[in-house]
Amino acid sequence: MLLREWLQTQGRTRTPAAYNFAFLDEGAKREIRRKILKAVAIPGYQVPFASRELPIARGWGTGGLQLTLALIGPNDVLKVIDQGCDGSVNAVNLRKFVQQVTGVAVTMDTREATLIQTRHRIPEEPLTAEQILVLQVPYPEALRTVEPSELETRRMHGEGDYSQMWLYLFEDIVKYGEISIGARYPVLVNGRYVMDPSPIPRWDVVKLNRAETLYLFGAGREKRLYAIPPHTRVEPLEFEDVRFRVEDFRGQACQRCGSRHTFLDELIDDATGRRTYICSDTNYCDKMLARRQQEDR
Amino acid sequence: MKIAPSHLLRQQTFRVLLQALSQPGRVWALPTAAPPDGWQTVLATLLDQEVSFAVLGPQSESVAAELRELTQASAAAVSQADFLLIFGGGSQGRIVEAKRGSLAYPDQGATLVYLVAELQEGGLQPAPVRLQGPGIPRERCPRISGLDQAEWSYLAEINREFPMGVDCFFLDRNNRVLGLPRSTRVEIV
Amino acid sequence: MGYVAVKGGQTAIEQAGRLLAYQRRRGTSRPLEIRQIKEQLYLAVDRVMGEASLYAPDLAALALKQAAGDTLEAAFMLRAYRATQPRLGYSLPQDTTAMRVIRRISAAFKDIPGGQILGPTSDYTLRLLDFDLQAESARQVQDFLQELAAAAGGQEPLPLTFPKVIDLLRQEHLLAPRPDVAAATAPVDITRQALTFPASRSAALQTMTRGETGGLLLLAYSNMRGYGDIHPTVGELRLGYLPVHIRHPRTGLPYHVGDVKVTEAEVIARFTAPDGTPRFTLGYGLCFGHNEVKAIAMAVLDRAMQAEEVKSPSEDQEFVLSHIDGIESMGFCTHYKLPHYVTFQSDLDRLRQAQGVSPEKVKEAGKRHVA
Repeated sequence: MLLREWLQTQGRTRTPAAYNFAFLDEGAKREIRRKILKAVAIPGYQVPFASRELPIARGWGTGGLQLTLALIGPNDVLKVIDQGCDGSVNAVNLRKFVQQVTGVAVTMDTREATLIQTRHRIPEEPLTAEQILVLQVPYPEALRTVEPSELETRRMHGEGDYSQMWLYLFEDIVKYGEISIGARYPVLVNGRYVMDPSPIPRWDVVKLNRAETLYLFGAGREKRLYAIPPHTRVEPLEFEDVRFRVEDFRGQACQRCGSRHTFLDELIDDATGRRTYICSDTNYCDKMLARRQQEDR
Repeated sequence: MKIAPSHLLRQQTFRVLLQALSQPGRVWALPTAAPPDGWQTVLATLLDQEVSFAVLGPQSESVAAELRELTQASAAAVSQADFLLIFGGGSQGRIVEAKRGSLAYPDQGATLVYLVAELQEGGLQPAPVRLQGPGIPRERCPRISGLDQAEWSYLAEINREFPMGVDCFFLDRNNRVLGLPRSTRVEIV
Repeated sequence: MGYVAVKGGQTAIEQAGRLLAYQRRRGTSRPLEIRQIKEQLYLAVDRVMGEASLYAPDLAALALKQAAGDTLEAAFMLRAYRATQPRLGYSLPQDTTAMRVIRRISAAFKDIPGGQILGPTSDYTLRLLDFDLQAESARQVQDFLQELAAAAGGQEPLPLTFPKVIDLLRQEHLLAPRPDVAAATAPVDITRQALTFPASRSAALQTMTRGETGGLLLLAYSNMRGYGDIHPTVGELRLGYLPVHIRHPRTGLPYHVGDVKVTEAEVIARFTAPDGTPRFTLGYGLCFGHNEVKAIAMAVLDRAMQAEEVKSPSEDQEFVLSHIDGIESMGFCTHYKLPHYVTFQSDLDRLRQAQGVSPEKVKEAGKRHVA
């Protein structure tokens, strides 16, 4: 008998109906859950985890996805964004997958969501204690820029020896007069661990400090997860005389909703080659636009 | 998409445990479907054949056998166990032998589950402990009845070298839970 | 002015998927049967099983069909499928002298007990394209099989098992004795516990056995060429069927559940003298299916990573094990195609700031910190 025929006798098809709720088996979920708890207990510390393969490629969000799948229940409401946008192809794909394997309700509204999975942006609207933000992480190790060996970076974190990182920042200032790190700006969590906040822009780093919500970070390929509990100190590394600065959007406003207080995407107009700016957070832009239109009436 | 009732219970239990550990000092109700012995649901949520446990307190042998049956986890010495279940209000100092992890891998420190009489978030009356740290806006002063006073000094001892240490859950008779990660600074008032 | 409409993204993905399927179906040839791939492209199937770390020839053939022949994609699909399968348990350790051998050679000695059994190999074929294969008919295949069966009829059957060449070296104390199996610690399972460094030998071997063939070859080749000093000799290379036993859930006795085709390489490397007596050292490689390049590369790297002093990438355990998984490396390589415009925006801001900064400010900053 061919495999195909045998599978049919077992009542199994190619659709996810044959899979466990949230795709992962219970053993996989349990391991991730145990590790999430340890991550929360040691803010900013990277907990190794087994990291299952998923139908989505490594490097495309399998870490964040495993966190979401281990957390999610039938009553959750899920939002997925990439670069701040719900419509980005990768966000659409991930959202579709989670929906297929859980049947949960999905939303684009940041307020409505109970679980938000994101790649490289934190939503503009402040999140609450009832929400969890899951961030996709390509490089969990903040010290990798200064030290390629995992064995050595483990030692550095264990001993709180961050001298190499400070030296790197200092050399940056000497070269450019500024710290030239854009996204992935290193932060000190709970006064103890230097952490990579994932490639969120510096704009979003300030949202991590003493927040209401729990932040979970998943690096599937590197097999590490970490956490920032609510009300936790998160301080970008800086010098007294060369302070941390967010991106400068002075003089710019969102072409669509008029916002002057959000992170903006720079777009190049096809025809004119002109630069215009639009809110990166599409849901927030929609809300600002609706409000603006309401006010105009 | 169907979810088996036992899987749903564990998922819901996990979310409560996560909240408890993220916001130490607050008291949370375990999902109502959990049986009167909430500790079994908590342990079934977290334990399986990949981890080990030890039981301290009265009837530890029979509880251990029950746990093995329920979770497929293996019994181990206190100094090796990933999870410690403590009945009877205290460990008589034995938790200082528990795994604290290492500087490179502090996450290998054990998780302690205490069964106590009653948990309260702390009201107007003075409370025995003051908690501060990650997950706590300023401070919280919960009341944990049915826990030996000496236990706090044992916890302080084993958690004295952050990031190494152990993380605790307290479960009371009303199926409520309180989380205490090693990152919390505990002051005996 | 383009604003990314939500609906657009969804439709675009669906269409991209259809176009991909179209690429595979657009020709006039008949749809491939899974059986054809499994039987006639069996080496691709073996490679995919090895890199997916799942012994399932029909599923590997299906993955190859779906991936239109891309072995990395196929291994990825199969590995993802593997992750969904419930873990029932572990097999009992299996001594590979029990392998039902179909090929077995040694480069260390001209002749060996049991003989050099060439078996099915392309080693001695001339790599000339056979244009007759363009019109291969079912009839020709039948005739070939009949001829072969007739010729084989009179031959003496091979013994089922063979002794190990390295055991001969052990008997003469030229190779370190085999470690005591009973005293050995249980192997690590890297799919249950993340790899940490320094990694145990079992973790290293597991990582390599599911590693990507080209990646392993690259690193081993670097060592062979001189970025290392293994100077390997193939002590024994075997291809055959290894029985798999589990512990019966009721009786507790070993229970034979089937056989897996594996390639095994035992490579003899230059001698060292850790305990005073110089001895040859052993590098070991084993993988699913018929994949000699992978098994030999794995054995060379196994030995290389045991070097006392790390002088080259192939000897650096962390370097080797972090970079040989095909699914991880391929995923990360391709992820660069994902939108990165927010992080790029952040970098743009930094660059503009840096450009706008005056030389005076740079000098001043330098002065403050040197103090």
